Amino acid sequence: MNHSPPKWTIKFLRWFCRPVFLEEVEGDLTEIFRSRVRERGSDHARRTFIFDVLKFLRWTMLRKPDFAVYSLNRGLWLYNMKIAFRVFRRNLLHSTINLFGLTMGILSFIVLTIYYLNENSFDRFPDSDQIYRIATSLEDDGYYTESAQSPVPILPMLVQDLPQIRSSVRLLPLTGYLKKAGPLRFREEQLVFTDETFFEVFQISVLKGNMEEALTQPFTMVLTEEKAAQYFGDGNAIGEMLIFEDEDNQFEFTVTAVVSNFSHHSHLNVDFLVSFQSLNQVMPWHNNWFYPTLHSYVRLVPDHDAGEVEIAANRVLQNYAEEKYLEKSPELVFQPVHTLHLSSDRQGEWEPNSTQINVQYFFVLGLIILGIAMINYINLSTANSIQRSKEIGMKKAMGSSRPQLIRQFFSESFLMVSGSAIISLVLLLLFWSPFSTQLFGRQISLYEFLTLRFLTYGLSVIFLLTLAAGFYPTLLVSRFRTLDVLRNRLSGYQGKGIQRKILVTIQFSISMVLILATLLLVEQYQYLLRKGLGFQKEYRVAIKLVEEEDKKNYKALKDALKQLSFVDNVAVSNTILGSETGFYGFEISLPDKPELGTFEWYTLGVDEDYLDTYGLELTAGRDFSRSLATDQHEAVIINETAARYLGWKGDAVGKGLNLTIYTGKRETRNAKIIGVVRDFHYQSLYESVKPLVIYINKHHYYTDNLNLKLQPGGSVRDRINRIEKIYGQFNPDKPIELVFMEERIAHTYHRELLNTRILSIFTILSIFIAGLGVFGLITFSTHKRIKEIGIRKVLGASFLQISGIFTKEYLYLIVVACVISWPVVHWFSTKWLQNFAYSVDFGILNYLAGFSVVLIIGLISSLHRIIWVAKMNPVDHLRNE
Amino acid sequence: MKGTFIGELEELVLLTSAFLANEAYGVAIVAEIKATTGREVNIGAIHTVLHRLERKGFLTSRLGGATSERGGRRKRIFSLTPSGESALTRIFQIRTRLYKKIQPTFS
Repeated sequence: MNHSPPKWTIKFLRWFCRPVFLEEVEGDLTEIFRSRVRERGSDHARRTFIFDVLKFLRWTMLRKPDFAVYSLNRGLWLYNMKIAFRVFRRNLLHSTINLFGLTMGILSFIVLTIYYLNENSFDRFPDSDQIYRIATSLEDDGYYTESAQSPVPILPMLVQDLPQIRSSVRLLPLTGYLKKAGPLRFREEQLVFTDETFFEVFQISVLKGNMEEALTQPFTMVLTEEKAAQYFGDGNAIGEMLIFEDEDNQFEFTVTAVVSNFSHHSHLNVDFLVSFQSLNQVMPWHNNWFYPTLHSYVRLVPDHDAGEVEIAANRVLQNYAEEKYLEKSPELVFQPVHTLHLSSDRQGEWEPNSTQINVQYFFVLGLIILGIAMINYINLSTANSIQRSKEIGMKKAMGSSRPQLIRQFFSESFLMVSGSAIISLVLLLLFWSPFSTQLFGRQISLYEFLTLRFLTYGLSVIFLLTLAAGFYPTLLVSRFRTLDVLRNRLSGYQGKGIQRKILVTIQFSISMVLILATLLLVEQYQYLLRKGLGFQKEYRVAIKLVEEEDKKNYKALKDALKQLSFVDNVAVSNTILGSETGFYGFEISLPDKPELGTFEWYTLGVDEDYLDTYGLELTAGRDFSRSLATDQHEAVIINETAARYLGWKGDAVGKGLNLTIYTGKRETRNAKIIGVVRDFHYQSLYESVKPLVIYINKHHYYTDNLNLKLQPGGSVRDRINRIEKIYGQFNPDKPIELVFMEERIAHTYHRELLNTRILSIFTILSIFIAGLGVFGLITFSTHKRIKEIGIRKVLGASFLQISGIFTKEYLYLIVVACVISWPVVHWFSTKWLQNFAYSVDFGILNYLAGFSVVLIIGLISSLHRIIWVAKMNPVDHLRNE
Repeated sequence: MKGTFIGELEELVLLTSAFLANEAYGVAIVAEIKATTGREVNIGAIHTVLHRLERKGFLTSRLGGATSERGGRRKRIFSLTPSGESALTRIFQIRTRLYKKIQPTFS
């Protein structure tokens, strides 16, 4: 007979029960057990004992984890906070640096996260997954082109044959002038001709007017709230007239509805919706397969696979499209509308989109910077804790337990992390709106993201960071043995500081990668913008001639402008350089090469001053000349690519070239090639230069722009004023449209510049934080070796020798970081540069530059401490041995 | 007012503790409750109630003597505090007042 309760139950009880209660509970249970044994036998007693024990599993009886007991203890908590504050105050420099580093890290993380979230929130309205844009891919003049747009007749054709399409809408944006009655008019970019089905596809709230009938009649117009306020103030816009002017005509539109503004989170950016039927008058010839093209959107019936519909749509296209269009072997592509902003990069987008990969890179960048800041915190606070060893020793001697010390250190890291989180939030609120526009090139509303969810996530991140940051220092400190600490024998715990060195090396490597990435981006884009263009863009300004009258009289305006002292030259052209589209493709045939037949090349119609104005170089032949009458109609200049393409190197000059151009009527010129111009990037630099034919064109149909070559220097404002004044003499009531070539090129590479800007700012931050890391490292190692240095000084070591010791320490880490990071950078840079037809040579010099930046940063951040240690009085540190 | 409310089992335990005076500890209370009311109360529940009453300030406790019956473990002896006594008085008065309203002859 066993007269004792089951052992495991007792063990279990001892494990879960609160120690204060354990004795009485165990006593009572035993007493009951004994009496049961007497009354009902030991088997029954043992059985019921188990249940009795289990019934003690109550909240009040449970042993609480130490931390929980502690956290309920407000007094201790406050005490630890107080200590944390005091530590902060005592080590003001150290703590401030620490706080600053963490703040920067958290701030970068928040900013880049918001950017990431914002970029991912485009076109995500309910059922946006049913809406697709129909884009086209086709071969245009022998070049494969991906267009965001599609021909006008496609959509009606598809709707007729495909029942899967629930509704569809076409959008054709035009630019023109709008005015109420009176002379004052505004240039509007986003006047969009659209079907009345617009509201069936895009759900947008109608504030005033009737959505159903808003766009059914010709010459009806829907305004956004913002534009309604701009044109009609607070008054009722419904029923009012707006006059649309283009070059030749005026059309009156009646406002039928006002809608809420289009979301910033949409790839669509529309100010005015105009009924599609109006096009019958505005652009009577619009219904064809070639020009204009427009944006087509469909809303599919739910649960239809877009892939299948796409295949069916392409079949319909093959069956019904116009023969001549099918020659371009077009293909329809259904793009989900919510993916457009991040993944569509086609010709004729509403506005340049972002790319998924960039956005993701930036998010990762945010994480990395946060990581560097954390490493810093860990390094600095371990270094700091070594200096606080006396305090810890005293605490231990007075009976502080390890958990208590752990709690104290976690309180400190909590204070630090939450402090910097609060500071970064405040900074965010203060500087967000000016900063975000600068940085991201678009207004991102902060308040959309400061939701409850954001705060919840934020709090959990703070908690995690506290744990992560506090973990190592806490572990280290709580391991100290009291006696060792008090007798100042800490070297055993410090080891060689290998983990700290590893962490600092990681920081250096990351900083190095970021520095080199920034350098790479900057250099590549600089290269693209400056050297690679092949024409001069600095001090070049183009004036757009819009009015028919101006175009006819361009010569008078040109001569007047030429009179200005700061204008070197003025030339006419039909296209402005640096645009992706806008170059006219005309038919060409070569009498010397009949086998090539007739083909289309891009052309540029100019006058005799053009080559000089843009500083284009001839590699063979001569420029157009006014003194030769034949040049007007019988001379062309081709670019090197064209010459190469035709198999002519230097001997292209003198060959015949037949060019069919359009000057109100078809006109075929039997011209001779008089020169070959060095390749210049008249289009995007992402693509290689295509063949180009330059010819003289003074017909007013194509005298679209006056290009000015200005002298360097001088006040821009003043010059613009004087140019405007002259322009005003010819056009008293038309505002001038000036294009600064430098700006235009920059605009073409807007996204690239933006990326560079974002990357460089955050690189600077990361370098800065890594600098703090070096500071921590040096503080630690100087402290550790203070006696050694003292002895060295006594024995006559010089200032230089001593600073050399410490410089060597991190120099070595930087070299290791180089070994780690350079191959990575090399691999990525080679890969990335392959995206470009023309790329910069990213050579060893750049790597060395990165190295020196890191070196200098390291030097600056350690200088203060090294000088301190080299100049200290050895007696102070040696005497208390 | 929080903390002054007394539940049914609490009242029972409080009364029993008052009655047992210097012998009021877990097992004794369980036995007494069973003897007076016939109710089987689990020892775990009694412990919880005792500690709750202590936290509310109606009981105070000290560790008493150990017996071999208890495997050498000490008892926790509970005794009423003045506020515990007044709580019992108050409860008694309230109940009596109510009973008298039902049956005025009730004493």
